[in-house]
Parts: sequence; C-alpha cells; structure tokens
Amino acid sequence: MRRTLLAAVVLALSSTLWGQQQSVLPKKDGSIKFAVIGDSGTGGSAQERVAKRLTAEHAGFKFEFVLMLGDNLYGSEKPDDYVDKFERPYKVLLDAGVKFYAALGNHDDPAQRFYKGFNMGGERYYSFKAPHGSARFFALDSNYASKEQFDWFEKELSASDSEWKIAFFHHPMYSSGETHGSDETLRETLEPLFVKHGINLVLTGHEHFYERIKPQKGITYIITGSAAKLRRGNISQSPLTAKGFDQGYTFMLMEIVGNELYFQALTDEGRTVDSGTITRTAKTAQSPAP
Amino acid sequence: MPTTTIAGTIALVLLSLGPASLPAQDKVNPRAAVLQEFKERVDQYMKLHNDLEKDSPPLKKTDDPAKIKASQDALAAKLRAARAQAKPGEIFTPAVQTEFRKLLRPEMTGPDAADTKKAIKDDQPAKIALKVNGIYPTDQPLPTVPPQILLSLPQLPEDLEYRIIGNHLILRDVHANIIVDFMPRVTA
Repeated sequence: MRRTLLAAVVLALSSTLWGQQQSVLPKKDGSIKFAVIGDSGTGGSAQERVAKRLTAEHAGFKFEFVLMLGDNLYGSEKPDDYVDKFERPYKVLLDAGVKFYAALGNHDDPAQRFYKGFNMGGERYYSFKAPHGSARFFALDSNYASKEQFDWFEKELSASDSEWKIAFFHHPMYSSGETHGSDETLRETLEPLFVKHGINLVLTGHEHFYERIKPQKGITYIITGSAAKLRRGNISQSPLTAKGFDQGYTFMLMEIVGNELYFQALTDEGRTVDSGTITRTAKTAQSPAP
Repeated sequence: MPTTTIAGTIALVLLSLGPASLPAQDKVNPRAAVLQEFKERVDQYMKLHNDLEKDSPPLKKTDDPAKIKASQDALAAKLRAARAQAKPGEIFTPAVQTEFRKLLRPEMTGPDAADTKKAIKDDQPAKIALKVNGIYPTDQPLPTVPPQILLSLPQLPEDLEYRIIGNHLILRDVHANIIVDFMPRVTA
C-alpha cells in the first residue's frame, strides 16, 4: 500500500515537472499566440479528448485563434454535424472569443466556406492578418488547385509586407506517410511561390499523425493531422523527418515573438511530443514587397 | 475570367497545330470549334443555374448551417426539375470528350504521369453511381484535382468544377452539389 502510494506520488511529481520542463512557449504579452488542429471533424471521442486538452491549455496560454487544416467535418454535413463535429467540442473556446480559421480538406464540402464559424469569408482560399504583430496567414484549397487560386496567392504574397508568412492547407507537399506521402504535383506548383515570396512555415494535415519535416529550401513544413484520427505506425523511415509521432492524437500551440516562432506539439494527454523554435531568416526578413 | 480562359485554351490548341496548320480565315479549326462548343454549353448551363439561383434561398455567410443546406437543396431541386431529361454527354459531347482526352494525354502519359495519377488516386471515394443530376454524396471525399490537370483543361465558372472519380471526369455544380455531366476514360 505504502509502495503504491509512493509510486503514485513520484509519477504525479515527475509528470508535473516534465510538463513544466517541456513548455517552450515564452507566453509573452503582445505576442501572436495561436493553436493548430488538423483532420478534426469526426465528432468522436478522440476529437472530444483533444478539444478538452486544447481548452485546458487555453487556460494557461491564451491563444487568440485556431488554424484548422482541413477535414473539418467528416461524413455527413447536415446542420447537426456542424454542432457535433465543431460547435460542441470547441464550445468553451468559441464562447471565450477564440476564432477558428479553416482550410478545406478532401472530406469538406466547399459550402463550408459560408459558415461563419470557420471564418473563411465565403472564399475557398483567403488570407488574414494576425490581430497584432506582423504575421499573415494564407489558407489555400489544395483540393482544387486552380490557376485562378495560384494567381490570387501570388498577388497576395506580393502585396504582403508581413514579417511572417504562414501557409496552411490540407495536403502535405512533403510527407513520410505510408498512406498518402508527399503530394509532388502540388509541390511542383506551390514550392516556387513559397521560396520566391519568403513563406516561413507551412502547416498541413491529411496524414493522421504528426511530422515535422527537415527544412526544405529554408522552409519548415509541419503535418499535424491527428486531432481526431490516428494512423498508428504510419510514418515510414525517411530522410525527410526531423521529428515524427504516430502513436497518439496531437495538436499544436504556437507563439510568435519578433523573429522567433515557438512551437509545441502536444497529445490529448498533454504530453509534449515535439517543441522548438523557428527563426525567421534574414532572407525572408528582406523579402516583403515595397 | 472563364471566357478569356476558354478562349486562351482555344488559342493554345491553334498554336499547338503549328503555323502550317493554321486555318484560313474562312475555315474553322475543328479542335477550337469543339472547345468553343464546350464553352457555349457551359454558358448555357450557367445561365440556367444563375436564373434558378435568383429564386432560391441565397448562399451567403451565415451562423446557421441549416441555411447553407437549404440553399443547396433548393437549387439542386430546381436544376433537377429543369434538366429532368438531361443525359450524359450533353456538355461533354463525344467531340468534347475526344478533345479533353487529347488535352489530358501529356499529363496522363508523360514523365509526371505517375505523380498525377497518385494524386488523383489518393482521395478516391467509395464507388459512386454516377448519374446526371445526382447529388454528390456528402459523406464521400472529394478527390483532389492536381494543378496540372486544371491547367490542361478549360477553366470553368466559379460554380462549376471538375473532379475525377475513378476513371471518370465529372462536372460538378458546387453550389447545388449535383453532378452536371460526366465522361469516361480520362486517366487511361
């Protein structure tokens, strides 16, 4: 009995210390704080658990918005599904004024763009500026990569003088996933624009795991598509991987302070599976158009 | 703009034939004529779509998803009624199908064919019974259309889109979520 009690105390203490040690977010006043979820809209118990953890994290890290990387509503998209797969799981955050910005996944009816809760402004692709600080976020529709969209994207990038340019969409251009893998057709078209216009970070889902890719042409790519679905053991051995985790459900917290972007990937149990800092390079700092 | 883009595709077709094969002014290039016919059929469909849309609940930004669904369903019902007799091949006519296969051939058989086909295959839905005026099942994924495919085909108005289901190219009405037309054997 005494031994069990002692083990429980040690476990509780170590997990608390571990959690504290692994928090890399500076939580500075005035910084840009946001969260990221991908492939979230199942309405199932895993989404519920991730949503609860996300909500719990918000108590200590006041992120102002959440990026949704597509597959926002799996299966049917009846009015009740918007409640079960979005409004209910994130109710506390929505009530607290946290805004959700969605990109379309392959399971999403493009009509979702008219739903105000997803803040897409009625568009399949759009951009928005962080409420303060110097960061612009570009939501792309990787399901339907039309010339019209690329023309719009290039125009938006050229016009942006934001220091941080972050793109988010559904299909990963780099991936070590056995199920999907890298979308090379998309890479062929988008990567030159990313490089030319100084995109700093690309966030995608589609693969139901977490993977941070080694920087490609100076750009960091992160896949986080396991906010409700998980493919265990799906990350194949690959020279692309900087850090991979396919053993649990994940979401991310991010904070931009000046030239640093701090990131932390957490499981539904609150365990940190990856963390670090992305530094905006001089090249991208100089890239904004006049 | 769709008109400009389809005109652009027609111009590209003319150029691809080379100067020697440019038609005399009084002759119509058959490939360009086919694409022109496609454009006219698309325009005709869009006129109907736009007319019926005016009398349907509007699709606009809302907090209430029921309004989105109501708008989709109402337009779909009107289009189905107005095109009750529509058959496969009314927009993708046999001549258009032949021309589209030619336009897609470089992507489907060229050096990037494997990547293109992998991207198309990646998001395929379960077997869908394709039917003109049929609803695209909302519980099924919408397969990704690679950028190179979209660049090869005439651009469409905002409310129409191409999707590739299995080996079929479908024309989907985005607002109404219905299949407007489809054609077989595009990935071969």
